[in-house]
Amino acid sequence: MLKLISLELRKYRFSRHIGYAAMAGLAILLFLTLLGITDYGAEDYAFSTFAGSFMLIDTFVRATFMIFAGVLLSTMIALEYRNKTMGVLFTYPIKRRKLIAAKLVIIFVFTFGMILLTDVLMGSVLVVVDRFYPFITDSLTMEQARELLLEYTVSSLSAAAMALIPLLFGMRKHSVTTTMVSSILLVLIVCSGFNGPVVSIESIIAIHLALGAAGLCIAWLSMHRLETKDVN
Amino acid sequence: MTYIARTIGVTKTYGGTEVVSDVCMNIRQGEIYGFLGHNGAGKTTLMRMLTNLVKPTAGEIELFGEKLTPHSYEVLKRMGSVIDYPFFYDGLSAWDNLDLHCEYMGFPDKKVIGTMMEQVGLKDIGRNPVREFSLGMRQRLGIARALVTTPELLILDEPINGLDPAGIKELRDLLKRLSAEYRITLLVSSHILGEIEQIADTVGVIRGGRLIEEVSMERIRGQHNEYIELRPTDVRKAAYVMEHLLGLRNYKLVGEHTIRVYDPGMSPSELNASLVRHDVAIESIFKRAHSLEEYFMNLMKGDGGIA
Repeated sequence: MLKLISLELRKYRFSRHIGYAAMAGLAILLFLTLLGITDYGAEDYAFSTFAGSFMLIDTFVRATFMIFAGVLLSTMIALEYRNKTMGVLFTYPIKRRKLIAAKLVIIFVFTFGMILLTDVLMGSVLVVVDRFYPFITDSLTMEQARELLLEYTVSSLSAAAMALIPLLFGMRKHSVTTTMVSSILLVLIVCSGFNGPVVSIESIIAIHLALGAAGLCIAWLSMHRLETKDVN
Repeated sequence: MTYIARTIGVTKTYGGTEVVSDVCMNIRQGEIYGFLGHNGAGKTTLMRMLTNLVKPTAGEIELFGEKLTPHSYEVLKRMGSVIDYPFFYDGLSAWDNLDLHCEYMGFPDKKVIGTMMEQVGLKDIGRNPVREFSLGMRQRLGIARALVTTPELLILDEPINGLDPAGIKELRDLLKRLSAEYRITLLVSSHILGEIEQIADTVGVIRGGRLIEEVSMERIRGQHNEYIELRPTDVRKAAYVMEHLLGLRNYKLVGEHTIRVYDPGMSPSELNASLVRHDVAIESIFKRAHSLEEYFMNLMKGDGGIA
């Protein structure tokens, strides 16, 4: 499996995606900084509390990297079907399930890793900046920070899992557009209205976990009976 | 007789339509099997079934003496194929594509890549991305990819598409060499009769999804060798004389003015003299070898051939 993963990374020159991810991270940072500066003093200032600020960061980061995952799904699966290189891949003496699994592991690990890393980096930037130029009204205890790390981990895991939902369309329709549109729609649904009508934290977590489970289910289904299906 | 690949009553149905019907194909070890048929006759579907990309609706496929199942992976190591069109990772170089192929096939000897690129005449541009390649170059790279892991069975679907005349000749020589020197079994499809005729040991003709003929070239050459073609001034009279006075029954009218005589044992000069003796004037008469192209054309069109 590790060999298949390394071949996939080589095939798509995956290292360049790390560069793109860094650019996306910088764009989020720039946007949130602008939001922090221009909105300062407003009644509903987004960075008024640590909890709110961390949630805002997480929402943006998740949205960005879930769409990023959609791009990867389109390139590594839908496009590979459309360009018919999947047919070449399936003439190799390797289980098809394993070939697809190698791709999905890369996308899952990359999405999870990038969300967690960016969340933690941005959170740290927020804490450091607040230390020198205090703008957040409440304070952050070590206990809260530990809890936050756990929350970020769970949130990154569920986001990486639910980012696989567009695979349902990628595998069936073999269409890049459908995969991308479903990825964007998913982000619009799960990453909107974080401070809108009051929904309890528990119910948000439940929804995220349920969607994450759905993503994993779809990933499993996409590999199910792959060996007996025709490749045209 | 060792068969490398066999299909036993293989049928493939798409949406209620049979695109391949009850095909029984037998490919012997070391031979070049020419697979002839018009576009859409079912050649590619059958080749896809042999490489396990498409599963038969009915029937069985045997490769290297073993039944092919959806979970047969080991046999794929012993095969090389270019089916439909040579697809590649276009952003990668030709070299990288072959390197990846060797990795996926579990083939460790990377030195062969250079040799293979040289054989197909792509050594100088091997580091260029495949997206810059013409169809002919892709075709050659596809053959290099299929061959690089030294397969025992090579399946090539319309390999001369996009090749220039020099390229076609090179490919023909390469395929013959692979068969003669390395004993590689080849299944080569084409809708161009001349190509198959020049390289194949056995020919399978597919029409409307059915394999209507599977015959060795040696046998066809033996069966359809020579005939006399003549243009008499009066075709009806000539036919009458031949049938009733000269006792020739194996002849055929071709068009309005030409007669072909398949009866052996009569030379053009004898026939000419006999007809003239019976007051049938002859505009032209000569001996011809029967065109295999014509034979296959008739089979493919559905006229049943000339025999």
